[in-house]
Amino acid sequence: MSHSIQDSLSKLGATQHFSDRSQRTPRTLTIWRATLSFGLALSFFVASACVHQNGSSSKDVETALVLKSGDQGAVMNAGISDADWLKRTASTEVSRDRVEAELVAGKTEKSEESARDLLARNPASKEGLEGLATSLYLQGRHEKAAYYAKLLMEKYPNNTVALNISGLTLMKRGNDPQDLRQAKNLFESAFSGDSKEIAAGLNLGHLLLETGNSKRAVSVFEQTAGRCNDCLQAILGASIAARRAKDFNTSKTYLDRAIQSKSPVAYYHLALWHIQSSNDLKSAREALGKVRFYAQDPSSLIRQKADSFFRQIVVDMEKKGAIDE
Amino acid sequence: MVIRILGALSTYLFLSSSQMVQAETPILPLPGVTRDQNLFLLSLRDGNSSLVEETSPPDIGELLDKVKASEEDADNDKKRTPGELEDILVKILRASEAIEDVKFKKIPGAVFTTAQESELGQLKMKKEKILFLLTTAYQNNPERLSQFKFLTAANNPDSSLSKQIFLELASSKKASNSIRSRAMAVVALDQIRSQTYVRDVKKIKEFLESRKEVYQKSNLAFQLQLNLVTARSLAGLYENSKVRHPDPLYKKYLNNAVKNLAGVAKSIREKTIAEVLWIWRSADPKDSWFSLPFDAAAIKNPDTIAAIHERRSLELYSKGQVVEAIKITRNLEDSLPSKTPWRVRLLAWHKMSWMKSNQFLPLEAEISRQLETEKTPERSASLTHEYLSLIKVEALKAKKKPGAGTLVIPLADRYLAKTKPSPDHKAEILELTAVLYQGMGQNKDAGIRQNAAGDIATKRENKIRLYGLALKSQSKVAGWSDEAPWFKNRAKVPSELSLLRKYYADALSQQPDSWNLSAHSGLIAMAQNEPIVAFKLWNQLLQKNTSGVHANNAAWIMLTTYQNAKQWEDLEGLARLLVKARLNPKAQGKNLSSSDLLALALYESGSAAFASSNFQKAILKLTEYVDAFAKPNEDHALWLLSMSLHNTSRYIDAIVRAHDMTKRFPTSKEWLIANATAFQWSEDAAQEPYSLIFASNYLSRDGKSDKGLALRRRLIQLLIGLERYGLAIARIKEHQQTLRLSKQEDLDSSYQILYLEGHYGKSSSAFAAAETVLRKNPSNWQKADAFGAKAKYLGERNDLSGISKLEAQLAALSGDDYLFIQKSAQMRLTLAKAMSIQAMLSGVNNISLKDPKAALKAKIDEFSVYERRMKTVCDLGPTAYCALALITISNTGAEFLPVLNEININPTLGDEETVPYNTYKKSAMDRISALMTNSEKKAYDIVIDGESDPTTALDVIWRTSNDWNFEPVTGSEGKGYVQLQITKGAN
Repeated sequence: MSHSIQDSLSKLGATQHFSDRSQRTPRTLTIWRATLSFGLALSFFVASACVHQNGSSSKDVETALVLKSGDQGAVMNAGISDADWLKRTASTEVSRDRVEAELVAGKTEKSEESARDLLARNPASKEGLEGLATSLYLQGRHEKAAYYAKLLMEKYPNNTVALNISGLTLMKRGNDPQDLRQAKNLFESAFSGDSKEIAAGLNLGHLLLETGNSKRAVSVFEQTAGRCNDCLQAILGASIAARRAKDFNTSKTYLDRAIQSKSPVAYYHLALWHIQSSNDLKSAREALGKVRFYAQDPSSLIRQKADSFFRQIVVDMEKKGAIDE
Repeated sequence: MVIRILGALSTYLFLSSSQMVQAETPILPLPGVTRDQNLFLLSLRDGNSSLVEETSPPDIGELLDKVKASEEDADNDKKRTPGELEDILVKILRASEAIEDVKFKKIPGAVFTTAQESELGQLKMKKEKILFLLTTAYQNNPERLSQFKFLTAANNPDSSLSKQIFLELASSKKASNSIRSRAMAVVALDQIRSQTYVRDVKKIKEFLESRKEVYQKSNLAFQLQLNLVTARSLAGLYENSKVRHPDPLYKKYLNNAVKNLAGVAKSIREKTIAEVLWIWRSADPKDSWFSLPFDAAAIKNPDTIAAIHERRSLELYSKGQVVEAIKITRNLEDSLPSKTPWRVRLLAWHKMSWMKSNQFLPLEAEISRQLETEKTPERSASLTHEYLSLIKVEALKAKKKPGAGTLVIPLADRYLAKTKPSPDHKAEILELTAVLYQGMGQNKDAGIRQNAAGDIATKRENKIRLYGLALKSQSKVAGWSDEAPWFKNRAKVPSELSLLRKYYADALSQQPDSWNLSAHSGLIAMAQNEPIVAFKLWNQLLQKNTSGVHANNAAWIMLTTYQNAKQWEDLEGLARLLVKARLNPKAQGKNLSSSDLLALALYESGSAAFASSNFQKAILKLTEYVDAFAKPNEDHALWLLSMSLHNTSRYIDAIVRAHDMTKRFPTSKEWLIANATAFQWSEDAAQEPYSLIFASNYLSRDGKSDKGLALRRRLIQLLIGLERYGLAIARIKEHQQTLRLSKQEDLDSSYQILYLEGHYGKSSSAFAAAETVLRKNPSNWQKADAFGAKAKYLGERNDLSGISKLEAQLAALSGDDYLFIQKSAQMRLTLAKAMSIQAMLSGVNNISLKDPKAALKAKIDEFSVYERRMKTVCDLGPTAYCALALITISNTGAEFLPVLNEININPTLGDEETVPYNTYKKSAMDRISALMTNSEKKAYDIVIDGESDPTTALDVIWRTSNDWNFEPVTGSEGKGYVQLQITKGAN
């Protein structure tokens, strides 16, 4: 690896935050969005959340590894060092750790292979089935992922990995309302079934938000943020959901926390918040300026959307004669 | 063996006879055999026996030196005194006599040289000179002079001068009585000797009578000598030869001579006795030693006495009085220091006695006696040899004489007890006694002896031979055949088998690779109901050698036994060995295939191991079976192997083997269960290709059973997971064709087809699936869904009639549940979209327009129809489809407004025509714009309220508020989150 996680955090300005959280709560999960591979650069931005552990020793403490389809590597990792991941990936022994390490490295085909090896050696392996379903899902082989998720649920009812992947796969089949409804139920089951479940919370929150049930989405995101150490995905989701529910104060509260991450997405939503809460074109324009500052690639979607929004605000301000600069 | 014994016997007899000859020769020397007349005369001269007592040969040189030393200067002789001259003379005489003795070989061992002969001549001259000087010196001493004359004459008694001097002295009055008598004696003796040649003894007797005075007047020595000479003469002896037959009268003179010995010096006595004995034995050599011609008491010398006893014993022995002879000889042995010669003779005589009497006990006793006291190793060895020879001869004789062995065997045993035989020698004797036992028909005892001999023999070849003899002996006892009785009745006397078995074991210890011995040994063990022992033995040997009839038979029996007893492990081990050796045993008209039996053993032991849950072993056996052999039951073996592999966590191997089985053995009884089970394994181990194969296999035969139905359900899931929707649909249809589904499941199956066709298939297929669903009494929402599918298909075909029918059918449905509303809305949207708007959105050629207002109105009417159709979606309430419909209206309106705007009236017309037209047109366009804005707002409200899908919501929200999800998580485009719980430090 070209540079360490700590180096990457430092470049992203998140070191202090990461350190503070780590020092305050030893069992805190440090969550970041990362592009991690061996030979690939590691980059991530971090949100933190606290997951309560129930009397586990520090050695075998359970933590969450959260990944996102289409992304390279882990979205949230659980304080396991990159060196440790390296070690686990390099291990010749087929194990759950190796599967996870390969997932963290974004090597989903490798992780699938390892998971199959795990199952070939122990067909009853929960970790094998979980790893296989996860690997397949992350590869975009959703139906096969769903198939194994179903097998997983048959063997391990209410398995959160299976519930979550099943829900995601249903949505992938299209926008069939029946599927969406079932997906929501599956996410809810996963989310409520395990107090450490984060991914299902994010999926559920977004499904609620993206199908318009903003108030409920706020609640889910808020709960999720409590589990994931105030991860950006959760608090930004909560802010957006609150804003769409016209609860601008709550929205602003989450937004302020999200902005600390210097996320251009957060600044974009700050602009929206200024427009929708008070039609404050000027502040909105300023926020979009921050977007342009932090998202320097002009071809990126956030820049395109921000620029479009920015021009519309400028037009509106011109209409109002409100442009002072 | 017999030849050896005969050989030994003949050798022994030869030696014995040689010893017999030797025994006839006396051991002890008898005095008188050699004698010397001159020396004896000298003794008479001196009156003592000093000279004759010398026994060692004189040293000639030394004598001469003495002479020289006493006579340093011959010229000085005249000055010497007579005494000195006498001394010199005596010395010269003695020296010259000695030299003469040597010269004429009278004294053995003395050496005479040429130089000494020369010196002798000088001495003679010297002697003559000294005699002359003495004669002169003793002119005045006649007595002394006579002495020297006698002496001088005696020095050369046969010379004429000497004889003259003797005659002179015999009659001389000057000579002393002693000299005179001596001279007379010499003269007389000479005269007697001269008469010896006279044939007529009578004359001699007359002569003796005439010289009676001489006898009477002679002194004792002279009388003695006279008697001896007379006896000698009468005995016919001259010098050392016998010249005529003896006159028995000589014994009288001999007896007189012995009587003369009283008071005579010891040396003279012994010499005389010797002379007497010599004369006697020379004259009458055949006289009994028990009839001495004189009083035996006169013999004082123990050696002489012993010599006579010996001769008496020899005499007795020669007469056949062996016991008496032995008795005397034993006394001699006891009394004399040297034992061995007597023992040798005693042994020889005992042997002779034994040969004559056939009584070996005395000889044995004598040998034992001598052995007990014998100290020299050589002699002990010799005695042992004699002992052994005795045994061998007796054994040989015993062989010809039934029952004699009963005596000889103890003889041999005593021999072994009394000697310290080497192991091999002991073995030899034991073997000998065994032969005796055999001769007596006691084979068991013979066997015991032979086996014991084998035990102690040191050479392997002897051990082998002796053990072989033992087992042959015992075989006779047990009634066991010499040929290995592989397939015949075996022992006639089973109780004797144990011993026979031991003998075979002993023999095998020397020849462990002998198949013949192993065959017998094993067969005996089997006869004793110990086949395990036999088989172990045979197995061990088969490891080394598989050739020959014994190996064949042993293998055949073991294979057959193992197979019958289901001893699969043993069968496997043996069969494997035989396969390697390419041996297929044949016996009893039955050929066995080692390869087949190995396969059988592997199969059976593998099966048994599986049954006892010893899966590792089952794998080992069955793997070899299926890989190396193409045999019956391979399907079952493969299946057992698969299950064993699975039970030992070798899941993939288990699947592969099961696949092999199901592929190669479709007619197997276990084919179905194997496919069903292996499908489950494959599913568990995420081996989709195998899952497909096993499920397909199973369903091809048993698709209608409960198991088949359940398995097909899982297969359908898998096919969908693999996105092989066509196959999935086919299986669903197959599922339905079983006619074993409940109505609900049948409906659900049809709806599943509809779902799959609707999502992934062609619209025509979805249409057909919808038709099927509609025929099966679906719920309203399912009907709505089916209508949607049909509408989509009809829309593509622009079948407005069909669509209208669907609309009517849909309108007839009612319901308020979420799915029904959603599906109905979706269906209505589909119907609305099915309406072609191509004409509505196409432009109008103003030039050709005759009535622009009518054309404008027509377009607006078309849009109104379209709007109404779209809004029917929203009649069902705020759904995502409603929002989509509203957005669609807005979008279509955006496309429609330019079309509408392009329809113009001819400007050349007057205001009265153009103004109303434009007002109408503007009004219509404003209304459509307002419709668009209002639709978007309604759509926003709908999605904000959560009644939409993520994609629609995103679109609507963006349109209305610039709100955008940059990374959509949900919906078909979303990138959802997944999570794994991991454990730190648990690597």
